[in-house]
Amino acid sequence: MGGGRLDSEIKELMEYIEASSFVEFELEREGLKIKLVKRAAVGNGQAGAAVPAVPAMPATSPPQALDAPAARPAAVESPDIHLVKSPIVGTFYRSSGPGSRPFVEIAERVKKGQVLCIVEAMKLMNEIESDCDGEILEALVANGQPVEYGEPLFKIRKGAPA
Amino acid sequence: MSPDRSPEEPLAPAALQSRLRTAVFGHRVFYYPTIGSTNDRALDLAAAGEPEGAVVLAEEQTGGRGRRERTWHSPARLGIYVSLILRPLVPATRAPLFTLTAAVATAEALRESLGLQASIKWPNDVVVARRKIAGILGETRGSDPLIREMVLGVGINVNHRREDFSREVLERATSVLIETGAIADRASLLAAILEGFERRYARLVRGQPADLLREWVSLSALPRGRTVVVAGPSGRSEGSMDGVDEEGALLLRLPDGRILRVPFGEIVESSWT
Repeated sequence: MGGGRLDSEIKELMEYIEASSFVEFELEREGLKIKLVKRAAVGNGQAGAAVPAVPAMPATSPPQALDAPAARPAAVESPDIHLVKSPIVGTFYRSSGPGSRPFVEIAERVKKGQVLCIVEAMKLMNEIESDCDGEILEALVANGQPVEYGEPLFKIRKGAPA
Repeated sequence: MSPDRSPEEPLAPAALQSRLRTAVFGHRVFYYPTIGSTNDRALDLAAAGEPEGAVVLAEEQTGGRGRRERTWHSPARLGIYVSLILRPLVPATRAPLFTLTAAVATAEALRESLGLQASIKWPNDVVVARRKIAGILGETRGSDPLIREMVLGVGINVNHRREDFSREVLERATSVLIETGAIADRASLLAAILEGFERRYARLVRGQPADLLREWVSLSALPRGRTVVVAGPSGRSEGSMDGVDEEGALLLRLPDGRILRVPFGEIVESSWT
């Protein structure tokens, strides 16, 4: 793996971690160990710089903050509000097919790991699971609409199932 | 390759493994005479910790699926219905490259093992004489930015006769038997596909898709310059085929010369001749 390639892959990885709900992330592969820690507290809206640990990395620009689309100002995280985001660019579907019921309804209680929707790109169906227990407050995208990488899909109020 | 004695010969794990030349893929086989969907079973096995390279193989699918609950007609012992478990640990945006690779490996095996003029219609339909002979459906679960588990389902029409298809399906589908007039050995074909996929897989995981994308372009049913209409995220666009980029997105040259990148969608019209 060339240095340039490694740099760009790590930069890409940092961007993904930044958009994810991870606060800390470690990867060990092919003799390389990377540890990424978000400095900013989750939910204060500030772009957290991801910090690679070992080996020392050449300077890379900090990951961009992924702005929520302007039309959706309500999509902001807080300690009890969680946003489920799309890990890929694709088409958002709330059910498994045209004749099926949605995976989840608004106000429904969901568990961590429960399938909330599908994002499809090129016949790759990505079943998006909830990453926390809680209650679905809002679907932020309409069925059948394209979504961007990192775009919030659902707003969930965190809390253990009743 | 030696044909089956009859189309009813099973595609048993032993038959597959005696023909396999892979290091890992296809050595662990979950075999079912009949199953709802190989992809569903593979997703469950992956969630339970089944390692990369394991395959789910079925003689018949009662609920074979394409995208968005379209059915994939899967009659007993005629086709190949298989799902492969992968754990690539690459960013999820690269996931479409794995379905493109499955299409390349399938088209290559149909060409080299059976002499068929198989090609690929973006993103990943495998066609012969403009009719679909194989379909690919990838699925992942989770919302991680890295792909921890993924299944790639491949359905291939092998020893179907014309009468095994409905008239409606026959208009857009074909099989190995229809194209070659001979019963094909499904185990040999599947072994060739798994070998071709495994050979390309390591490079993809390392983030080196260039060779794969060149192969994809060389196998494209619609060569560069061919006029197509594509339905993508921003609606329908007409233009000429210009290639695919490093994430598998279609590049379309618009009438004004600009290049439109279509990250996902399908080709809805094309001039085939």
